[in-house]
Amino acid sequence: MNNALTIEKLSVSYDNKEALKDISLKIPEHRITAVIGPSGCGKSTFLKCLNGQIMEENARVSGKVTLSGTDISKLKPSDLRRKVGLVFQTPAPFPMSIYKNMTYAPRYYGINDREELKRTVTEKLKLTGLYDEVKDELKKSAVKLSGGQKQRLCIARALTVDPEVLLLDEPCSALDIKSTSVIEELLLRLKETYTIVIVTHNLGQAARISDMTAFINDGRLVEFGETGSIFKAPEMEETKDFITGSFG
Amino acid sequence: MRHLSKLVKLWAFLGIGITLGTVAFIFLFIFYEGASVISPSFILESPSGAILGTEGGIFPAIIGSLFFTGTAVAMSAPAAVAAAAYITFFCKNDRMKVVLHSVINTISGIPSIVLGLFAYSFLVKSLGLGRCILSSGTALAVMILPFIEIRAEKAFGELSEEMIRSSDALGCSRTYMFLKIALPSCKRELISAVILGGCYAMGATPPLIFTGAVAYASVPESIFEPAMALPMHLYLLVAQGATSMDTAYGTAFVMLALILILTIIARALGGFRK
Ligand SMILES: Nc1ncnc2c1ncn2[C@@H]1O[C@H](COP(=O)(O)OP(=O)(O)OP(=O)(O)O)[C@@H](O)[C@H]1O
Ligand SMILES: [Mg+2]
Repeated sequence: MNNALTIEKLSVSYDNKEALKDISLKIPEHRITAVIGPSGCGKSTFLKCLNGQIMEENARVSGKVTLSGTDISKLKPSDLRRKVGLVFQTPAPFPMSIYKNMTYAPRYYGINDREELKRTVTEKLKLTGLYDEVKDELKKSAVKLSGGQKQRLCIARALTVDPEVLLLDEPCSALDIKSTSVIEELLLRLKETYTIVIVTHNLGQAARISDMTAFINDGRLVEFGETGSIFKAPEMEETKDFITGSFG
Repeated sequence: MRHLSKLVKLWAFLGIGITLGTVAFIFLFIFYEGASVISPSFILESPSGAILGTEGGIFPAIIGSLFFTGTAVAMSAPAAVAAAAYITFFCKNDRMKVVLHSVINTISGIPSIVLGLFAYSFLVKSLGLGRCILSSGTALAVMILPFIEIRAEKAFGELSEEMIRSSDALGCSRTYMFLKIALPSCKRELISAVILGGCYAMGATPPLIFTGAVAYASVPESIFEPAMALPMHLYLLVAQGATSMDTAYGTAFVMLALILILTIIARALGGFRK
C-alpha cells in the first residue's frame, strides 16, 4: 500500500508553547485515518500542517511532510491547498447560490467553460449524495440548506479542485445523528477516490469509519495503528484510558 | 437588588425617552419654523434681497452642498473601504493593525476646523488650488474617512471566520475572496456607511469656511470653482440677525429633510437585513 502523506519529526510551537512534539507517521492512500485525542492536544494544528495553513500563523514549525513524494514546503501554497482540501467543524457555505459555491474555486483556477463547470458541479454533488436533493434548486442560496446538507456542500466544494487528500476537522460535531451517519457513509464512499484524514471527538465514529487511528495526547503521538487493534488492544496504557473514557 | 434593577430600568427608559424626545423636538421645531418659507421657488431660485438671502431661494446652496458631499464621498469611500479590507483580510501583522487603528482614531479626533485650516494652507495656498469644491471636499473626505472605515470594518468583521478560511483552504487568494464574497455580501452595509458619511459631510461647516464655500455663487459647474453650501448659508443667515431668520429656518428645514431622507435610505439598506 502506498502512502499519501509521510510526516517526519514534525514539531510545532506557538510563541514558545509546544503544540506538537516530534510526530512521525505515514498516512496510507485511499484509507480513512482518524485523529483522536483530548481537547487542545493539537489535532487541528496537525491538520493545519498538512495543508500548509500553519505557515500563515505565528508558529515555529520543524520537520518534514511529503505528499506523494514531494516535500510540501517546496510546493506553492495554492498548489498545496489544491491537493490537500480542508473542511471545518461549522459548515461554512459561501453566501451565494449552491451552484456558485461549487464553481467558486474552479473559476478561480481559470475554468470558464460553462459545460465543464456544469459537469464538475453535477459530478461532485453526486459524489456527496447531494445532487438528487438539490438538483432542481441549484440557484437557491446555500445558506438556506439544512445543517447536514451545508456540510455535504462544503465537502463537495472542497472536491471541486480535485484534491488528493481531504482533511476534515470534526465535520460532524455541529450535526444531528442522522446527518452524521449520512456523512459517515459519504466518507466511506469517498475513500475510493481520495485519502481522508478526519479529526473527531466521537470515538464511535472513529471506530466505525476509519482504517487507521492516531491518538495524540498533549502534542505527542502516543499510538498509531489499525483502528481495530487501537480500539480492541491498545498497546499503551494512556490509549486504553482514553478509549475507555477513564481519561483525565 | 430588586430596587437596583428597577432603578437601572428607569434610567434606561429615561435615557431613551430624553434622546427620542430631543430628536423629535429639534425636527418638529425646525419643520414648524421653516415650513412657512418652503415653496418651489425657495428651493429652485437663487438668493436675493438687499441683505442677501432675505428673499429668493437656496438652489445654488443645495446643489453646492451636493457637490461638496459628492466630492468628499468619492474621495473618501474607496480609501476607507480599502483600509477596512486591508485591516480585516490582508494584514497579518497584529502590531500593524494596532498602528492603523490608532491612526484612524487620531484622524477621527482632529477638530474639523483644523482640517479646514490644513486644507486652506496646503491645498488652497501651497498647491495653489484656490478656494474651490475640491479643496473643501478633500478636508471633508479626511473628516469622514474614519467614520466610513469603522463601519466598513465592522461589516467585514461580521463575515464568518470559517467562511474566509474555507476560501483559503481552496487555495483562492484573499483578493478573489474579497471581490467574490466580502464585497457582495457587505454591499448594503457599505452603501449605508457611505451615505451616512455623506450626511455627516453635508452638515459640516468648519472644513468649508476658508476652503471653498462662499456667501454667494451661482450653481457650480465643476469642482474647481467655489460654491455655496447649505450649512455655510445657514450660518450667514443667522449671523445677519432677525431680518433673515425665516429663510434660515427654511434652509435648516431643507438640510434636515435631505439628511433625514438619506438616513432613512441608509438604514433601510443597512439596518433591516436579518
Ligand atoms: N493560533 C494559535 N496561537 C497560539 N496558540 C495556539 C494557536 N492555535 C492553537 N494553539 C494552541 O495549541 C494547542 C493545540 O491546539 P489545537 O487547536 O491544535 O487543539 P485541538 O486538539 O484541535 O483541540 P480541540 O479538540 O479543542 O479542537 C492548544 O493549547 C492551543 O491553545
Ligand atoms: Mg480542533
